[in-house]
Order: sequence, then structure tokens, then C-alpha cells
Amino acid sequence: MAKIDDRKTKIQATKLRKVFKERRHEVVAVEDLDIDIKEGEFSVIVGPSGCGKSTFLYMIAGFEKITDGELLLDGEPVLKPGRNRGFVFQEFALYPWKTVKGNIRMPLEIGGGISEEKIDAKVQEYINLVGLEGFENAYPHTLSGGMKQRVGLARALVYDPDILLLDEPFGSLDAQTRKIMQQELTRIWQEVTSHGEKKTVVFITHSVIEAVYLADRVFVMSARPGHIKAIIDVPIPRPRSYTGDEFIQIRQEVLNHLEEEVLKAAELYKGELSAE
Amino acid sequence: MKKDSNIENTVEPSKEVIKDTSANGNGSRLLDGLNSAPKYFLNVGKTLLPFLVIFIFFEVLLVILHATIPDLSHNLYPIPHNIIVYTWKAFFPGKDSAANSVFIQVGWSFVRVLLGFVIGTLSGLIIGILMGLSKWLHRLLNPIFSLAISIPTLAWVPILLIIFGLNTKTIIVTIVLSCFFPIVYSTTNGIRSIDRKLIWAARIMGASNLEIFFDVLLPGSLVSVITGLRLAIGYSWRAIVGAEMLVALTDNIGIGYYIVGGQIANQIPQVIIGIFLIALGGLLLDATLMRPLELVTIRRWGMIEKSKQ
Repeated sequence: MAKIDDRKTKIQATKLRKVFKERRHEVVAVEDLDIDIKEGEFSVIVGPSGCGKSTFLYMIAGFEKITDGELLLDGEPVLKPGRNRGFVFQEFALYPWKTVKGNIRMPLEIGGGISEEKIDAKVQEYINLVGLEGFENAYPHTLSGGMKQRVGLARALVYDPDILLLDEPFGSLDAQTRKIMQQELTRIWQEVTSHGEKKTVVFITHSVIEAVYLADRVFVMSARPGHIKAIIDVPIPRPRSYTGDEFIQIRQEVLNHLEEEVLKAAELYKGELSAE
Repeated sequence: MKKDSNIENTVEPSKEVIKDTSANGNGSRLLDGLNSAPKYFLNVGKTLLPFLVIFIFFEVLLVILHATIPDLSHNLYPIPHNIIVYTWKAFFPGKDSAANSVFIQVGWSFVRVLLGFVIGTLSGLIIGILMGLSKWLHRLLNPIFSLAISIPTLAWVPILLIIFGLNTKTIIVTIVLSCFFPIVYSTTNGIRSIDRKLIWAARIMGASNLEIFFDVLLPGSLVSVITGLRLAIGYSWRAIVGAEMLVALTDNIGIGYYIVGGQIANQIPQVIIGIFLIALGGLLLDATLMRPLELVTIRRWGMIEKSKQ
């Protein structure tokens, strides 16, 4: 594996800014955000609640328009959502009227140009990949949270996007399931490649342990208006454990950067409450 | 990668774990009720019990009344069991009777309701979908529809009578109106309240607007649309009685006319039968149209809670 700094830039933001216009005032969600995410990198962004990390992810996805600055994927500005990206939502955002198979088929049906048999084969491949054999015809409401997110992952990967965006995907799962899903995501990320390269992953969380367990690099975001405050390399080989000196040391480093911002965010929040 | 033995609190992502977390698996909810037939009859019994109590109460009350006041009119103060006898005659008047069977009266009302319902629902869906899709149209029309939905349909009838006259057209247009407004309202809201993340998920797959409409917006708004359909059926079944009563004198047919007929003939049993038939008709429409539709869609998909028996 090449060192991260030598690799090609996949996602690049320069002086990125996002302002939400509310009825009476403006909220600056993201300001002066510079980031350089490399091809095939597993990047995790941590930050205090409301720091604009999800907003940043929505801008990469093309769901939200940028207000100012520059946001490039493969050197091209992001104009709208598209199939070079896959997105996994915290609330799963599965279609309740489609079965597991139906949800995972949908991107392939929309893409068109492939035969039914090829679609079926591909869907089965990804159902197996995420470990949902036997649940093909189940409706999402009969599944547990962890299984729903497996469907979410398969749906985001099945059309082979280069970039996988995950917005606190395990945030609503219980601690035990969460750990399983972290291991599963690591396994899947290592198994699935496009053009021989691993997927470029941007993963949002506010769990520091999760960040250090998953990431090649952890990006710490500041309190609102959000920008990148610190970048921490995680050179621990995979498969990782949640213990070990190196893990704990890196976790502490991330925590130190984050703590300050969490306090700032709390101040900001208090200020807003008293202003109202 | 499989398992790392020095991971302390790590759980092997085995299939057992996955299966454990989904106790009710992918079993069909439709079949849940079938293995509890005795329970079903018990429930039916529980539902019918209050009616039996009321029946016996009035039976006893009226028998006593008739015994103490000898010349009390049986037409105005019917003994409940006589109503049942009367019901039989109402349904099967016999060849020598000039009266129409109640079957025909109710049947005509059903036909009118269905015709008005289809027209009102289709037009309501079209307007509702357009309003759900276009912010501009919503801003323009929503205040009008918000106002219109609180107008009882029968309030329109005088206008309709002036335009269409005392005939079936007026009745059907009344039904159309009673369906139209709730359908517009529920369809608009159904589309507008769809989780934007469901739309985003389709967008990032590269879905076109048309694909989003058919794959996301239509099924996603179904919970609200079905609520609207239910309201529409309820409203139209109510409205037809009123409309038929008003048009009754020239039209001579329909459940509303049958009730007014009972009033004119001083026959309270006839009115009571009419009232019961309205209730049964409403139940029947719901059970034959709306329940099956719900069962194969939003209930199956878990979009609404399974109702408690």
C-alpha cells in the first residue's frame, strides 16, 4: 500500500463555505474548510454535534449546493448527485415498499443497460457480501437495525461507485451491533474494489473509538462554523482491535483535539438558547 | 479477514447473531390471524354483545310500554323484533307488492357512490399530485383547498340543484365533491411529507424525476392517500344519504329516498332499517375496498402499525 500522501487526490475542498438562510438570520454551517482525501483512503470525520460534518457530506453527495469555495471530485466540481458516489444514511432510508432484494436491485434497474440475469447475479453477490442470505424477500420493517444497515451498504455499493459516503451509519445501533458492523464494514471495504482500487470512503461519526478503529486518517472538525482542525494518521494494520497501546494513544490524541471543540460547541449552543 | 484472537470484546459476526436479532423474520403478517380461528369468533361475539344488550333492553321496554298504553302506535314505537320481521319484508316484498326491494334501493346508492367516488378520486389525485410536486401550485391553491375542506358537502347542494336540477346528476356531483377535497388534501400532504432522504437515496443512484415519481413519491405517499380514500368513502356515503333525501321527491330511488319514504309513511321501522343499512354499507365499502388495499400495501410494508384486535 502506497503511503497516503503519495496517492492521487480524490476529493478536494478549498475554502469551502456553506450558509443556510433561515427566515430571520443566516447560519454559517461550514467555513474555510480545506480537505484533501486520497483515492482508496478510508477517511473518518469526527466533530461535535452540529459542527456541519453531515452538511459537508451532503455537499460531496451533491444533495446540498455549496455556497462558496471549491469542491472537486476527481478534479471536477460537484454539480449534482451521481453514480460515482454511494451514500449510506444514519436512518437507513430504505424503501419500505421494496424487499431486501428490491432495495438492492433498484440502483441497477435505474442504471439500465444490463440484462435481468446479470442484475439478479449482481444483487445476489452483494446480498452474500453483506451476509443477508435467506432474507432476500423480507421487507425492511421486519429486520433489525444492523440488518437494515447491511441492506443500506449493499444498496450503496451494488452499482460500484468509486466513493462511499456514510453519514453516522451506525449511530442508531446498539453498542454490540455497532462493533459487529464496524468489523463488517472493514471486511467489506477490503474485499470490494473498483478498477483494482479500494473505495474512497468518507465516514462521519462522533464516536472517537469508531473513528480510530476504522480510519486511515481521522479528520477532526471544529465547532460551527466547521472546518478541519486536525488530521491524525492511524497507521495500525488491519484487522484492528479496540485495545493496544497504539490504539489508545491515538484515541487519546483525537479526544484531546475534540474535547476543546465539544466545549466550544456547548458554549455556542448555550449562547443561542439565551439569545432566543 | 475473519477473526482476530486477541480482540477482547469482539463478537464474531456470525449468522446466529443476525438471525437472533430478527425473531419475526420475514414471515407474512397476513397469515397471523389464520391460526387463531376460535379467538376470531370470540372477538366477533364481543363486538356483537353490546348490540344484543341494547336489543333486549328496548324489547323489554317497548313490550312494557305497549302493555301499559294499549293504543300506542306500533309504527311510531316499534318493538325491536317487529323491526326484524319488517326487515325481511323490506328485502323480499313479494311479487304482489308495489314497493321496490331494499336491495334495489341500496344498490342504486352504491352505484352512485362508486361512480362519484371514481370521478372524484381520480380528479383529486391528479390535482393533489400536481400540488405535491409544484411548490408554486401549492402556494397558489393550498389556501383555497384548506378552506374548502372544512365545508360540509351538503352545503354545496343548493348550488348544484340550481345548476343540475332535481336529478341523479346532482347526487353524483355531490359525491364527487365529497371525495375530491379530502383526496386532494391527503395526496398533496402525502407527497410533500416524504422523507427527503428517500429522494436523495434515489438521486445518488442517478434516478430521473420520472423514476423518482413512480419509485419513491407514489408509494411513499400511499399511507396518506389511503387515509384520504377512507375519508372520501366515508364522506361520500354520508353525502349520498343527504343528497338523496333532498332529491328524493322526484327520484324515487336510493337509500336516502327509502328513509324519507319511511318518514312520509310514518313508518319508523323503515327509517331504522335505512339507518342500519347505511352503517352496514359503510362497513362493507371499507371491508371490501380499503382493508384489502391496506393489507397488500402499507400494512405489508410495515408503514402503519398493525391494528390491535
